[in-house]
Amino acid sequence: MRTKTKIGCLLAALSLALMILSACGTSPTAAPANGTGGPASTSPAEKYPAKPIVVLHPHGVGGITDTATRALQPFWEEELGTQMIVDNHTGAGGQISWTMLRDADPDGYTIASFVQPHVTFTMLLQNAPYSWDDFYIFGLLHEDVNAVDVLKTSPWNSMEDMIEDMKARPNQYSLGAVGRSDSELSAYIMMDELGIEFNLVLFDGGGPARTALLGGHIDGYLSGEFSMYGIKDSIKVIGLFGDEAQSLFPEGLPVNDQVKEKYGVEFPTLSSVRGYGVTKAFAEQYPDRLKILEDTFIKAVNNPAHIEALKAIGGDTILTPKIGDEADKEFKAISDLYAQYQDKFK
Amino acid sequence: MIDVQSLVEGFFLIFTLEGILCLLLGMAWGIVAGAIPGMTGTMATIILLPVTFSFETMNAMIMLTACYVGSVYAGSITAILYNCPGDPSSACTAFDGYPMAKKGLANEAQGLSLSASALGGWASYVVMLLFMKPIADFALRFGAPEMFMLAMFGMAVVASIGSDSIFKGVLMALFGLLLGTLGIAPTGSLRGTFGIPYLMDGIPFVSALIGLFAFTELFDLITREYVMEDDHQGESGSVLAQNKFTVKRVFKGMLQTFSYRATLIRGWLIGTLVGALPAAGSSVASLISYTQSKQYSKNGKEFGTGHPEGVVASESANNASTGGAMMTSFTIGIPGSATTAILLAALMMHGLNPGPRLFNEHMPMVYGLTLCVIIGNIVMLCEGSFFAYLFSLTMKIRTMYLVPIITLFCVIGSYSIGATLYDVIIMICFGVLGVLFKRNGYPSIAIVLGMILGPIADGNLIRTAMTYNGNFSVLFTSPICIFLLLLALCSVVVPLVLARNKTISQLKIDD
Amino acid sequence: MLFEKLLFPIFCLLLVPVYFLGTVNLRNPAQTYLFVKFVAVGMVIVSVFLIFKIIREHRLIPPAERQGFKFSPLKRPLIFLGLMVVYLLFFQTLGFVIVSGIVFTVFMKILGGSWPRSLLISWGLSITVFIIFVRFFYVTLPWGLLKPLEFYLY
Repeated sequence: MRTKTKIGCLLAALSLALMILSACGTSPTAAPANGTGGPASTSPAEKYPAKPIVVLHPHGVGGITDTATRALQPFWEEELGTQMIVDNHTGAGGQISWTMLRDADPDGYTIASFVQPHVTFTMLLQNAPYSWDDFYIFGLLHEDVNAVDVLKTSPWNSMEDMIEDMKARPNQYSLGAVGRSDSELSAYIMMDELGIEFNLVLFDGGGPARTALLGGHIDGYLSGEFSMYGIKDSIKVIGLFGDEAQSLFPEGLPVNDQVKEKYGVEFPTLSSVRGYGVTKAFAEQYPDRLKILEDTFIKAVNNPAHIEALKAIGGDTILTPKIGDEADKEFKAISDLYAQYQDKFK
Repeated sequence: MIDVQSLVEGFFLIFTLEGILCLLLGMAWGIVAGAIPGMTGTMATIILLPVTFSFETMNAMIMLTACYVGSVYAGSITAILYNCPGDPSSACTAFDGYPMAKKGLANEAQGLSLSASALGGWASYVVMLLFMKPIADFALRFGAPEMFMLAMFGMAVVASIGSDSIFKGVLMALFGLLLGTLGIAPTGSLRGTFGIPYLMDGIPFVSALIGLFAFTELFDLITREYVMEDDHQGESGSVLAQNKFTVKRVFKGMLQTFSYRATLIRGWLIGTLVGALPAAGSSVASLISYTQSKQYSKNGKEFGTGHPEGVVASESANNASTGGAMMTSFTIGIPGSATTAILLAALMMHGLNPGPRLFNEHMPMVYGLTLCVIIGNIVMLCEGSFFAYLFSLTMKIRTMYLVPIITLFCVIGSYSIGATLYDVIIMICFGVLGVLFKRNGYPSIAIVLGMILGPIADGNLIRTAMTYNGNFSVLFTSPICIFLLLLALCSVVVPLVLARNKTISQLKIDD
Repeated sequence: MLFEKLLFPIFCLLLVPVYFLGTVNLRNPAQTYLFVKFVAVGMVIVSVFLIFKIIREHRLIPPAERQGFKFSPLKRPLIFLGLMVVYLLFFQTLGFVIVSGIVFTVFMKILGGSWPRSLLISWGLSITVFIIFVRFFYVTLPWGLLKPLEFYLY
């Protein structure tokens, strides 16, 4: 008898927990399925979206890509009328997620978050089982420009300071960067074109790299500005690999302004671009569903509440909302730059 | 050191009806989810994340933090009952917790783990409140050379682990190290992957752990009727009769922790400090605490056979590390572990920027959260005992049903990591390996040691080479490195000297 | 049995060349392999040493006391392993619920459970767990043959 009461309590507790969870987990705007042609996912008569959409995520929770997606999520869900499930599948630099997208049913219920240049690296260096012919990037979210960051206490105040110091004492200074990224490429281009020699320290992720910078273990850190926003009070930006308008930090002067005249070097824009994509198969089969994705996406991104939410973390100024063929072309064009330099990474 | 006004404000921020409710629910969720084999605390917190979106910032953070604290403790529940660490940080708890359960002392073990967790965590949060900034600054001074030395220090204990042969332990440790280095290196080269993309990120640690511990045990469990071992040969009913599960026994276990004050304090110190280091997590903390206690405690020899002190050593450290991890996360804005990364992401999604700014502008909130976890650790004692007791009742189920049930959860747990069968295959392979190890006297703890510390040692040695252009002298000149090196040498030399003294005094007695 | 005792050191010895064979060298500055080389060399040395030690100890045991290879304790574990292999083979195609239901019912029966209980617990648990994990925890589990039912869940 006593065991039964205990089991009863356990079941009661479990059902209570489940009830609470389901109450919280169900989005109030989730529209019920209205399939007239049966529940098969390829039924054309069905209202799209009739069930939650999975967003495959190539990077872990807490990272930039993830935070940006999760910040957008509630607004996009509202536009779509269904839940979006952010599904993190880290692995192989993102290759796992993108392979999963390629293999998923082309019915529009699976999309993926894409990041350049990470996608390109999987194709160039890892023999990824996909190519640009498999995917269609329907929306661009933001462009996070690479910058040279140093501690506020650093003696360097401009690119020139750094370059001159490095020329005077080769291999004495260290710059950090996350491996296989636009930051790493910027390091190689700097070494080649400016003729400077420094110790490049590669990290697995932004967290350890930022810690190393703050602890003074590296003299400078090459990174997209967005991820540095949280520690902006301890750092200063001495060079930006892009336009002044793209800068999150007021004092970061574009690198090209600083080095073009004195050293005769011009850098390409180096940044991480993030967007969302689907398979080409889906884009061709269901253009109407694709349109729904694109329209809801751009509305969500431009939603003032979304921009407001991003303000506190510095994500609002880097937004580059674009959809359709324009987005697709622009995103894929970035790969060309990295294809050019791929030998540096081998 | 403490801003009293912010402290008071923080207190009122959390002491609302919703706040307390969030605390209770969040912790309950963390404990239940964290206890499910294969579901780590990180996963439990991730699942809770979207639920908290619509909450007010403070309540959301309270719920998530409570979940975090609960889950770090909860991993020990299944670690003790089925040798299945629900979280890598509880791997060391299983070493002594499970043998205790087999002996019928499951409730006591759970009680020990509860109070050790609560006390270790509680103490580390008090430290966090007082010394947040200084410890965070200290943690920053750990660069690649220092982290490498820390890993070496952790490895130094391997000499004293081997049960029947020191070389078996060393081989296992080396094997673990090699597995830990498998995958992509910071330089981009792929070690031992044969071009298989899944191997790029190395052997998935959680799957390997479940395989090595839980699956190996499952292979053994199917040869007897209950998890508990039978004292009297014969009637099957007697095993159930011999083992009564009561909440009272849980409480008894909780009080037992106080007999091991030294280990408790050691675990708390190691946990807080190691947890504060970014990129070292609760698993590293509990591992170092366990192995160090094994070396220096007078009961060290009995660690691994079901000695309560082992449970205390492991559990006090892993909860203490949460305090350390949260310290660095909130002050610097850089996560000290995977789950703190999620907490920070949650903060960002509510429009708050973690980092020095948070510290200055939202002091009451930081204090509020710290108070919340301090109170949370006390709440954990109550909720924890309730759930611990409930879970222990499952031990009454016969293995013929229990084993498939546990297998089911293990499969889900490992599959859900990457949604590929690859993880499940790894789990089963390690299960088979584990059986081989058990039958031939190879200590599994050494592999765990290697697999956890291997990537830390390897990655940081590479980065040291990169930063100092191949010049390794920094390993011997940095003060922290020298200190750790000396500690490592002590770890190797002291037991040898003690053993030698023992044999000498033995010989003298014989004379 | 001697072979079983030697299994692991031999495995380690073979692992070292296999590891290096499977390594793709991309931009390999000399120092990056320092740690791995150290571990690999250590493994080889300790493996060889252990092999000799085990053989030596084995020779010291009088032949009468030497334990032969006993198969019976391995029977149940091997069946378990076999079931797991079957489980994995059909996991994606049949889907989580079906393959779990079938395999675990068989498993419980082999271990000595009764038909009603085995069926109830296996299938009941598979279905409940599946629903909870997929619907509420957003964990991905394969639908397999039950794919048509997917929309009814939401």
